Amino acid sequence: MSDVGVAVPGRGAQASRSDSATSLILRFVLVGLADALLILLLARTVTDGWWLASAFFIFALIAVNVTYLSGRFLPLKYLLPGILFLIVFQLYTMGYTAFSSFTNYGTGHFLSKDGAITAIQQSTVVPVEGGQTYTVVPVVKDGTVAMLVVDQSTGKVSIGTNDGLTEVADADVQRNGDKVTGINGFESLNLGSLTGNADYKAQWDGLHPPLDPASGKYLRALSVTKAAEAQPGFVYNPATDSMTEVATGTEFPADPKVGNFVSAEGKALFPGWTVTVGLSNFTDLLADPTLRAAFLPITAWNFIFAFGTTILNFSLGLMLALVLNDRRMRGQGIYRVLLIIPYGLPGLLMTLVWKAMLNTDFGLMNQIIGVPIPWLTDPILAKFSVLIVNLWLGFPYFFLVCSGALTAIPEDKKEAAFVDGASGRYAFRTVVLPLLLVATAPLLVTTFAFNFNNYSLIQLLTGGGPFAGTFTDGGATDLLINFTYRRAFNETFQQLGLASAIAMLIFVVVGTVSAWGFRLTRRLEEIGS
Amino acid sequence: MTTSDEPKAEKMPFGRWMRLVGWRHIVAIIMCVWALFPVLYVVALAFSGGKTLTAACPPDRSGLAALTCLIPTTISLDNFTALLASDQYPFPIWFRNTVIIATVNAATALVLSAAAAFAFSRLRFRGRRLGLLSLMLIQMFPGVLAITAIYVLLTKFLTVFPPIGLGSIWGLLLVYLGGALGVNTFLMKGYFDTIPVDIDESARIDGAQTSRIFFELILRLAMPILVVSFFVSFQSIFNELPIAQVVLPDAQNTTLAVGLNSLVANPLIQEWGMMAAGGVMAAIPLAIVFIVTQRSLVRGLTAGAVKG
Repeated sequence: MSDVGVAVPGRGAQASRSDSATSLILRFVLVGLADALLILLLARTVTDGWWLASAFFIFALIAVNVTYLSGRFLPLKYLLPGILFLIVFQLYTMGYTAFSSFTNYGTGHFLSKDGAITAIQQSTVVPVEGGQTYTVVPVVKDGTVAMLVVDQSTGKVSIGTNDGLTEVADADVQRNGDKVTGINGFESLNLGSLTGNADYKAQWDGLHPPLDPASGKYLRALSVTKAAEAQPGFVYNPATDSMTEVATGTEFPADPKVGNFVSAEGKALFPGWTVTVGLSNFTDLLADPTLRAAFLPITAWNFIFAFGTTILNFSLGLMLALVLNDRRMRGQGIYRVLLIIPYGLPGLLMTLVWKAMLNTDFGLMNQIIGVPIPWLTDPILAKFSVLIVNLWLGFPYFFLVCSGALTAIPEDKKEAAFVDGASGRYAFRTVVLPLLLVATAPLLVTTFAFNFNNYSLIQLLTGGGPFAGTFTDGGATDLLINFTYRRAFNETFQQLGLASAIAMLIFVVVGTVSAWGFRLTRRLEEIGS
Repeated sequence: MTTSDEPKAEKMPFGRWMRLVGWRHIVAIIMCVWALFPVLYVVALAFSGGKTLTAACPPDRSGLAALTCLIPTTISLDNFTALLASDQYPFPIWFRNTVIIATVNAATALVLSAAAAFAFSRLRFRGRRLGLLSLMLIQMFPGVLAITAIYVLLTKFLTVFPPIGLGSIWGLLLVYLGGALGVNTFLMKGYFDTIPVDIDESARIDGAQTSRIFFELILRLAMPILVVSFFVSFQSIFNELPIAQVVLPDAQNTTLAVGLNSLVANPLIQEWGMMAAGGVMAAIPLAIVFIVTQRSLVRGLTAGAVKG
């Protein structure tokens, strides 16, 4: 500190003026660079029609220039860069999640309504009754497959792509007798050369040249030589906002509550679209019997785990700090170095190592004990193992913090506490422990908040298991976040709306507990002072 | 004072020594064994040259004899060479990606959060308390569950700004930087608060601008907490799995966390030997940062705790 005190007065007012000239230039250069980058990004989003992003970049552009050129908003100079990142990657994602929690976003409801109409129409193709059939030849040019279409009744020859049919001049048509075999400039394909090439085959299967935009009819290949008029199995009628099944005439009116077209008998068409469903994601957690059966025990264990791990890690760290806090003890330095080693290793990998050691049949732990103990596969033992492994990962941190806090407590207060015997213990409890708690309480709160959502530990060690039923039910060591993650991001049935609702609940719970914790901290501090 | 105590301790009768000091050694030794046990195991497994879980320890050694497995008798580099030569698991790419992301993230996060902490600690402005509270609150959001939003955002980037889209390490880096402000601002603010304001004021009287006070005074005096912040950010990248899994799902171009986990994630093909070898190598950059910063780390952490 003293060298700073000397150094600063040493610089005269003149030096600082020439400094500000260079810093002014530097500032203009930096703001210029930021502007260039932001304008570039803005231009990209505008050409792409991504208006939300454009709005953000316009905001960023104004904010950067006003903040760094006007000199009026001093605090913002220090906050703005972080805030801009925060807006995109945290506020936006939080807002998105919050919004999703009131929707049915997930499998079967990923699309917008227009998207759902198109998807239903494309996935249900029926031939037009009494429709005409055509002779076709698959042809290819520059790797693009098209459909050469011959109208037998009129003799008209045209080339069909997904954009439509174009009539071909007679001079370009190649014939073998009566039969049309190809067209100049294109290579004709036969069954062998078409199916032999996966890319050609896929293109051919995707070809549906529209015949008449008004009726929605198009051509669909039946084989490599024949095509027929086809139409979507469902027709959308904007006036009644319903889908009509062509074959049966059944009406499927849109139901905006569930985001599906639903018939009078209750049959729904899939896919549906995303709609807001109010609070039903939240109420389902308690109303839906299978969900409730999983949700309540998981929530209880989640609290036990988060509180338990915080208390265990703190207690062991504190105990070790106290044990080593004796001047008469030699070799403290070595003990300290060895004890904080777990803190310096990648915790994720060490979790995997623990998983290996705790393996029932092949793990080192059971090899030493000599009995196959199901550390990670018995519901109760797995809970215990998870806490122990997290203790291993977390105690060095609290050991460090408590050791530091102990040395920082004024000598006169400590002296009485470290007298051996009853009076020492009393002094420790009434003087040292409260001081320690004041110093470490904020860290206890953040430890709780972190572990409440300790996804990776559970995922790597037990995967949430052991499971009594399927993985959509809860596992014995599942935290809410693990359970929710599987519900949201599995391969068969994704419930992103529900997952977002649980995310919001976790947010509220952790926020409340932490606020309570920090308030308690402040009260402790007042008592201490 | 230590010097005056020690001779006495040596002259103590054994029973009294045991009661006062000896038991502390016993507890400390037991705890050191517990702290080192998994570390020794992973090293033994890595150098055993075997692929399976039992490679480190032949099944015929059981009971306490199995403990001797922790001290390897044969040293084989097979697992290391197998992993480094593997096409399916491109370890060097994972390593490079992780070190790049961790370093750039830690450095950038340091600058962003130090600046923010300075504003919150030294400047008085409207919305300061609200800002602090909001930052705290945002931290409580379970980021893992915002993955859908991150996925949608980065998929969109893929068409608009491909270099930072899904599947790129720069995209992942940006996602991590979104959380940069939240993580360390509080820790730093707590430390900055302990630096006497008199120092700023005397500098200001001498004509120093606010920016100079920040760069030349506060940052220099707060070095221990900057080290802590750097280490915490650096380490967190080595331990982040769920977001990296979504942004970089392809084993050919991913991070150490995702890659090494993929070695043992499939119950049918578990490459424990390679995982252990990879784990030992992955620990090296972290260990270097840890050893280099350890002194300041301990000071910064404990000071933050006491004063924060």
